[in-house]
Amino acid sequence: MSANGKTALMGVKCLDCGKVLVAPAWACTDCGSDKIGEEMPLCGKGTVVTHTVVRRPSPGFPDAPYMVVVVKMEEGVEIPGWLAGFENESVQVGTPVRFSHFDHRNIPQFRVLHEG
Amino acid sequence: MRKVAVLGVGQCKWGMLADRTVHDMIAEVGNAALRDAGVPRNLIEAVYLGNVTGGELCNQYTMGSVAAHALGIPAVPAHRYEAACCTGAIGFREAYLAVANGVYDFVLVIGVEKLNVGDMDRTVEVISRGFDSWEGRIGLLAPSQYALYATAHMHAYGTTREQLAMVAEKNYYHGSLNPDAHMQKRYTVEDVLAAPMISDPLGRHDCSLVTDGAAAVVIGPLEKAKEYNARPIEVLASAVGAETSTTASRESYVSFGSTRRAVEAAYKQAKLGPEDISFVETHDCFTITEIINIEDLGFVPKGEGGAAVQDGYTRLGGKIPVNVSGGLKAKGHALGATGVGQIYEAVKQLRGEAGERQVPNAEVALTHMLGGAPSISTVHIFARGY
Repeated sequence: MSANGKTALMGVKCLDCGKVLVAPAWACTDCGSDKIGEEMPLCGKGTVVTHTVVRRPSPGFPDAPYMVVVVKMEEGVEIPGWLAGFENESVQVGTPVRFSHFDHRNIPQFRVLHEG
Repeated sequence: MRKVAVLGVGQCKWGMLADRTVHDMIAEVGNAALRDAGVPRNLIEAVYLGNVTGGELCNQYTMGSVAAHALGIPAVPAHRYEAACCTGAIGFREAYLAVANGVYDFVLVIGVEKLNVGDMDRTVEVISRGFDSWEGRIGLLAPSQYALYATAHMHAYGTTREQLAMVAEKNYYHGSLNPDAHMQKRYTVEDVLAAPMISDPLGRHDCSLVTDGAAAVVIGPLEKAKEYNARPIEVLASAVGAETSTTASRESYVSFGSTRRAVEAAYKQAKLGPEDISFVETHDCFTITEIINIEDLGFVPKGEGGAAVQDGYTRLGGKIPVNVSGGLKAKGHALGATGVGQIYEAVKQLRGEAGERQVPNAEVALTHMLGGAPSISTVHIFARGY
């Protein structure tokens, strides 16, 4: 169990246009509707949109280097997080990943999805 | 709306200014701008002040009132504006709107920032609050934010680390010609490439400077400007564009919608296009940002920003000189002052007072700032009003 008590990435759906948004959301950034549904778990699979390895430790994040990825989830929503075990992977734009877990700071941790 | 002109400008030397306070920087640049304008201070009807971190790093909110007091006009309405790195430019725009709509005649715009306070970790953390705090919790500080765009741009268009380094080399060269610049030392492309990596693919020299500084301008209606100053600079356009406050779920990672919307509006107002612009001051918070910006502003097709720098297109003496002040890279990034500092540069160049860094045939200037993820963009266009 993660620090936030959740085991899946959560999204919400706009009840007017169907767009899936990162939870929490207060209005739809596509159509402007404020009719937002209940939180729902995302499937966890996606692809890397862009990435960077942060080399310089900064306040609250002494464990540099770490890789930040923006992941486009299968539901269409994009979520930023870390790529766990990046040192042993060749991560590029388009690399398939899956959500692994929330770490002790509730940072979403992804892992590369290897075929098979 | 009335035509608006910049009558006077002032700026202090930028850098790591350990012995200066925000108060005395405000006084220096405010007084300089008033003298340059020739407008008596009792005609100033409002002060628009841009500052981001005063409350956190200098124990000072309400800096508008502080500025009015420091300039001997304490009874004048004076307020602080904040819009991340767009702060100074947004202060200028709000002042422009008030003058253009006849609310005020003469007003003073000031940008001021003191970032070097002996705790760089804290300064970087406070600056990074300009991004969405919900996303910021994952350890995405300013360099890593723009590193994400660099990765995407390199992937999409084959932009190289060497081309990024050429932006830094160029702006260091420009800064070496600017006596007010924070950094007047030149670095080679090899120096830039050899610097420690901060957030892949951006190294230390790909990042702008953490700078203390201030700048000020006096604006007023063009029709009244010549009573006080024979060489007013007309504001041909003032525009702002916006985009999501988040890093994820953006329109694009290789183009900023806020810039495209702002510049489209600005060109329409000015009845000009990119081919009419003589030189540009644009927000080079990181080397990749300048490359993306010159594309979004319409100076080169999307994806060709890296090649443009490589070909010398944006260098002093090139087709469209970019950041001849040294930009955020070498003149420095004094956060809330930077947008006003760009306007100082535009005015000095258009008047032909820019010394060694003077752009030949400087007729029309464009200034451009980005703020946040980026979520805000400002574009201003200037030309001589005499």
